[in-house]
Amino acid sequence: MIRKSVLFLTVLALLSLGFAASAQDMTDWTCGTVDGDMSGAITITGWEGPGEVDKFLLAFDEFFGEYYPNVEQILNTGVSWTDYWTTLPAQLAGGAEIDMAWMHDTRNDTFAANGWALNLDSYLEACPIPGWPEKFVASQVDAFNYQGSQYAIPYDLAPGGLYINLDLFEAAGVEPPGEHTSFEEFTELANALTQDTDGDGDTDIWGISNMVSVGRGAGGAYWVIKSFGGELFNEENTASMMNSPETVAALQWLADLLWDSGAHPTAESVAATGFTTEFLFANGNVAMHYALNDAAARMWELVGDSFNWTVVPTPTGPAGRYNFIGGSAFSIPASAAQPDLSYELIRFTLANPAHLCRTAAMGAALTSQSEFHNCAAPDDAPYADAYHEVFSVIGARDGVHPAYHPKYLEWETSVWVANMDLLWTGEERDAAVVVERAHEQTNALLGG
Amino acid sequence: MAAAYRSGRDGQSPWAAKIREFRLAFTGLRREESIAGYLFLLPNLIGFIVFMLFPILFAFYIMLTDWSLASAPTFIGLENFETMINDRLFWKSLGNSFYYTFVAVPTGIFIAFWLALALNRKMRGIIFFRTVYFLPQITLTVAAATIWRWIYQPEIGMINHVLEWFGIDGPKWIHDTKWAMPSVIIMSNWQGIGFAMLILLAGLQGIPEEYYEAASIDGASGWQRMRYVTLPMLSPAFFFVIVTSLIGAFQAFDQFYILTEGGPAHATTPLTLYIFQNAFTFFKMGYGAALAAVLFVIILIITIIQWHLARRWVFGFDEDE
Amino acid sequence: MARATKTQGSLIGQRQVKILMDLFTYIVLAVVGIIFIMPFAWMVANSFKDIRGIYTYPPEFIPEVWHFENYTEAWTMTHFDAGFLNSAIVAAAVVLGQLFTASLAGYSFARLRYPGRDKIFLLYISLMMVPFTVLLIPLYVQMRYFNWISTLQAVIVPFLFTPWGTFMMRQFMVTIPRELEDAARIDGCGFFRTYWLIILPLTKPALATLAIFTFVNTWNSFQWPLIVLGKPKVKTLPLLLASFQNQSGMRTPWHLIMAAATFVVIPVLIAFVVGQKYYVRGIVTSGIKGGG
Repeated sequence: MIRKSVLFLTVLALLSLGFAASAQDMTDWTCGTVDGDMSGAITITGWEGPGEVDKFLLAFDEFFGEYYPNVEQILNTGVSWTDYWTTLPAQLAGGAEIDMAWMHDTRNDTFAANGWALNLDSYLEACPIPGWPEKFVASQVDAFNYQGSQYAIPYDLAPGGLYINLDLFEAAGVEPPGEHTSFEEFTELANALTQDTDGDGDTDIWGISNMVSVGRGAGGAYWVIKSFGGELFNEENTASMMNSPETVAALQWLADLLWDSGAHPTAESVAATGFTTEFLFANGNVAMHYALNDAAARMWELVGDSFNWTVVPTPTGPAGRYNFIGGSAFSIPASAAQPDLSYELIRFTLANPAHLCRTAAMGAALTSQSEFHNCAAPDDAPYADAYHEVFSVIGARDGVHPAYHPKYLEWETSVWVANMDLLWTGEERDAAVVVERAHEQTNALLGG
Repeated sequence: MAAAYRSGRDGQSPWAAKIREFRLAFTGLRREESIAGYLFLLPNLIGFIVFMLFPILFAFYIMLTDWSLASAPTFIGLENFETMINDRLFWKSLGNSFYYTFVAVPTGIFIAFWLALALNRKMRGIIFFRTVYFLPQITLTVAAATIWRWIYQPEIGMINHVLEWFGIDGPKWIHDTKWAMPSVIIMSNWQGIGFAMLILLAGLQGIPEEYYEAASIDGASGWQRMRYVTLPMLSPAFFFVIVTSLIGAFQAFDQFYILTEGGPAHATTPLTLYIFQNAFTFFKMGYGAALAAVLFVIILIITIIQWHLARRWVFGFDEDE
Repeated sequence: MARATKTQGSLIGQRQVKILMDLFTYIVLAVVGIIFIMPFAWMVANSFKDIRGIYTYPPEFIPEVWHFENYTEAWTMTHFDAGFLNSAIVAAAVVLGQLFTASLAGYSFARLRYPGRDKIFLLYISLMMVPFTVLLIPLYVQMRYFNWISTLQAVIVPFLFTPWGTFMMRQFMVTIPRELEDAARIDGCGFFRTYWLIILPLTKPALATLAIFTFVNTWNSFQWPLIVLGKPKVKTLPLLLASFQNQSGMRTPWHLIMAAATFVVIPVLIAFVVGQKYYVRGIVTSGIKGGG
């Protein structure tokens, strides 16, 4: 009798210990808000394809394998950018059950204002993400915040920088630019690097490319505007601030690269095909190429050992140093069937240091800058140190982006692109003229 | 015979005549034909009622609302149409749609016709050539767009490179507000010509050999055979190509999206792209549906005009009613 | 045959003219053809390059090293075998369905006389004029109501009906000599038998054209399948092809995309060449003999 009850008690104790241990595991990287036995499916969508989604897939597999083995993941990824932004609203408007959607900073406020995205404040309070928000890049935390509430949790960063062909610098006998190079010095440098090598009267090597692009949104120029001390909108995003002399000066500086010095080739539009202008740089026709961090891996592939190259920060303006920063985030649609599980997944993906280091090793700059998250960028790449410095450190520190209010996308298409394209195609070469028109149209749109 | 069929309607009240005609259609010998006529339409009509009627009625309702897709639509009457009057991008994109349609369609059909004539010849390897001219239809759009962007590239692109041999300083093509539309038209004709060519070719193949023989016996020259046999017999196919090409051109979207994304400065934004942007980028679905209604009405008017003109030149058209 | 005997008198002159005309046609077709074939050739050439070869500027046509492994890699990277099956089912169903419904309605519009015919016809083809953008959401709602989301029905059934194809069939059927039909009717054929035995064989080039068009369009159809086919196992080829792509194109394996695009296009090419078989003239003659 006694031995039997002892055995029983022992088994019970062991079982409860086991339970406690597994509960302990749960609280490590989940808050246990969803029963581990749950079965069903979770639908996750995103625009990024292979190479880009790999960084999540590992974390997702780990998460479900460990905590929710009976949940089926339905992943819809690798949809092109524009197709994604048609498909997602159409599906949501049609009542589709999507549990987690990859979100972009430019779209966050529009989705939040229209009631598409779930307000995550209560989740963040009940089950905080380690290091949130103080150890995340402030500009990105802010980008996914609409009217004081968080609608998405930023995951990776896309800061801007300069890819430079060191061989062309050496040939021209000039030093590469750095963090403290001024905009005037930068123009001089670009001019010095621009060459007609075969003497036929046409430029063969350009000093700088991809600084402007036909059809590009305001983010590509905003950091220049900020560096000159200008602004696009007022605090409340209800009126235009575009006609300030600083904004005009900044845009004139960009236009002059094309039309005054000729150091910049035709402002190629980056159309939907995805083929971008980096081929000019990769073929050695350009000394400096402006691009975001995600171009690094492809450059490495393309350039190979045909010339030496590295990345450097963009210049500093009279009003200080700023560079563009963009980024993507995890959001939960308001119509999600499994919002709690989605949040647990987001938290796991953002909090697990082993996963984050792996992500960083794949070349993504991360929004979460917790000390244990501060892993090196692609460490086998020769440019790894420069990459880390330019994008993860300086890029994250000085990153700015336009205020993405709910009318931002409409403004960008109908006002910004409509007017600025004239400057980039050379139809109008005086920035003050296009800015004046854009200023009036902005006021009409935001005030109306 | 067609005229006889149509006569007898004059001088009656239109309604009474219609009712009488309807009754007549279901009596005697014609009864079977009328029933067969409706029965043959049935599969299509069922499909239309089930899969098109609801979406179309929905779209008609939506154009009278303010709808952000997420919340419920709010009824605002004709406000969307009032907004249009002062919307400069609406007028600009409408103009672009007309520009594109009335340049791309005539040039495209003209080239497709000559191509179809050439490919209709009985020659060795003609299937190879037909396939070649059809290839743009099935080439991956990314590959097509990439090569066209290289062709149009101003500094080191192919066209300007060739023009340079002749001492011509080429334009900036897709990077210039004036040249962007012609650039899109050239690419889209390159891509779409295979379809028009194929239909005209099928039309040519359908002309009975006997008609040519009869014409030859009558001593008709090559030109006369073309004028009195080929063109009249091809006119239904031509009519089809013209009507569907115009509809297709007003609805063109991909070619703009692939090559220029509507730029620079909206120089190549057609109404379709603007509808798309309103619906899915600005989340103004109500306004997008109102714009779509305008596009629909424009296409409908143009088609009806062609319908009336068709009686004068299209074979088999005056057999109506 | 009949033609050759009639023109015997001026045979030599005509033959020389034909040879000259053929030569001229060949030259023109070849020269213009280069522009038409180039992007396709470039796509195929790129399918054998590595990623650096694709970004070489200006483009190089012949790969330096031939990377045949791109094909196996592209094939295994996504579930292309399942995709092929899905695409084949969808294309076959839609092509057969459209051929049937369009030729039936086309015959009705072209040949049969009944009240309101032309009004219905105009109404029916006006359906082509409604921009699809505004129909996306209501159609999606409807598919959810039918419980067809992520099933192949959603990309098949709504597309079995075609105003475009009906219009085309009508236009081709009005040129068929009425005498053939009348003869059949006198022989006691009903309308369906007349349609089946007389009209359909005479419209082979048009049916082949419609089949080719529908096949190409369905095979390449992208936007709607993208919205309704969420689950991986029902995805069609264009969706699998697109899943290689990345937002900025920075990591997109273009060489694999080109390889996949090349093998995806092969069935379309086969369909096109097979469709050509029905582009034969002189059927009307045999039709008269057989029917009369």
